[in-house]
This record gives sequence, C-alpha cells and structure tokens, in this order.
Amino acid sequence: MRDINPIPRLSFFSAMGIIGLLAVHVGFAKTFILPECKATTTHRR
Amino acid sequence: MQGNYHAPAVISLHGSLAVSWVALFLVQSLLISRRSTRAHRVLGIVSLLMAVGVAVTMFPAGMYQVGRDVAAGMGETGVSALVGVVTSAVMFLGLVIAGIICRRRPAVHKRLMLLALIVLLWPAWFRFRHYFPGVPRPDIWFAVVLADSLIVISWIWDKWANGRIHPVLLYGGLLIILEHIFEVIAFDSIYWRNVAAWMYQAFQ
Repeated sequence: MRDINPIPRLSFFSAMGIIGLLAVHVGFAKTFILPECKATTTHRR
Repeated sequence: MQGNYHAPAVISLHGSLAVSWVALFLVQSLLISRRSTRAHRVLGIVSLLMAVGVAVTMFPAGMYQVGRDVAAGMGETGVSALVGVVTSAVMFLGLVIAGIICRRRPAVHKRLMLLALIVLLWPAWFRFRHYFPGVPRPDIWFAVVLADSLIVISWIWDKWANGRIHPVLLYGGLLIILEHIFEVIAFDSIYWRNVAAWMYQAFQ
C-alpha cells in the first residue's frame, strides 16, 4: 500500500539529535556572549 | 553574536567538527527513518572521518585549555583536566568505531551511536553551569546528572518502545555513568595528577 504520509514521525533518535544540537548551541553560546566564562572551563570544584 | 571570542584555529576546528557530528547524527537518523539507507551509508563514512577529527583535535584543544588555565593560576588542577579530555576522546571514538563495526546489526549500531552522541555532549551540558552559577558542585549536577540523564531517558524509551532495555544501551550506558562518577570522585587526586602530568608531558 502506498504510504499516504511520506513524512515520518519524529523518531526518538532524531529527537535526541535535536536535543544535542540545542544543548551544544545553548551551552556554548555563553562562551561567545560572555568570554570571561572561558576562564572557568576546567573549574570543577 | 556579541562578545569578543578569541581562540586558536584548532579550537574552532574542534568545535566545528563536534557540532557537525551532532548535526550529522540528526541527519542520519532522519535518513534512516525515511529509509534512505544508501545516503545513510555514504554519510556514515563522512561521519567516521568527522569522529576521528573530533577525537584527534581534542588533544591540542585540551592542551590549549591546560596552558590557559595554568597561566590563569589553576596550577595542577588545570593540568588534571587533561585526563577527562583523553577519556572522552577514547570513549567517543571507541563507541563510533564499535558502531561502524556493528553497522549490519541496526539495533546495536544505532544504540552505540546514541551513546557516542551522549558522550560527545557532556561538555555542552557542563557549560550550563555558567547560566546557573549558584548551583553547587556543577561537576555533579551538570556533568553527570544532567549529561547522563539522556542515558536514563534512552533506557526508558527502550523499555517503553521495545519492551526491554537493549543490553548495549543498558551496559554501555552504565559504564559511561560509572566512568563519569569515577571522574568526579578521583578528579585532582594525587594519582589523577600523576596521570595528568604524564599525559601533559607526553603530548608536548
């Protein structure tokens, strides 16, 4: 039977990819907006 | 975008490759959901080359980071960060290569790639501490709890969608979580510093 809905639902893996892209952009945006944050890149404690 | 960001070219290259790999993960999953397996295979080769590039550029990027933090007065703690860079590179590339080896077993392949994505993303999650400077122990809350929450979400999805948690996702995810917890506990200990110092000398 012909698929009447050629656009598949968003798979879990695609959703994870979108979350990943958002995380990368939001996480690293701060590096560009507030360069002083770079000084604490490795500060864990 | 505001700010006056300055960094060596290798940092920009590393960041570009890492973001591209995440974008490629999304494209690859969309291609498979549309059953475009031929394009998926071709892009898979690109993905592998990119993953190698991400892992290889982690070393000079890590060395730059150490040099900068030592210059900022962080001392041996600054050098200690190098161990986490190396373990991340090894885990990420190991998972991608394992995924490529298991490419004819889709259930295993896609879960290994998912774990590789989660490993690659933890620096991004860790940077969320800049938005929430009041949160204590960001190394626990952002680099482990938030970053590895994707593993737990993946377990829930697998159980819900497939009736069981696939062993690759279960045990691979557990190993990643345990490694991250170990890093939090052991970070900057005397043994950790010795390993970091050895790596720092070896990479120079």
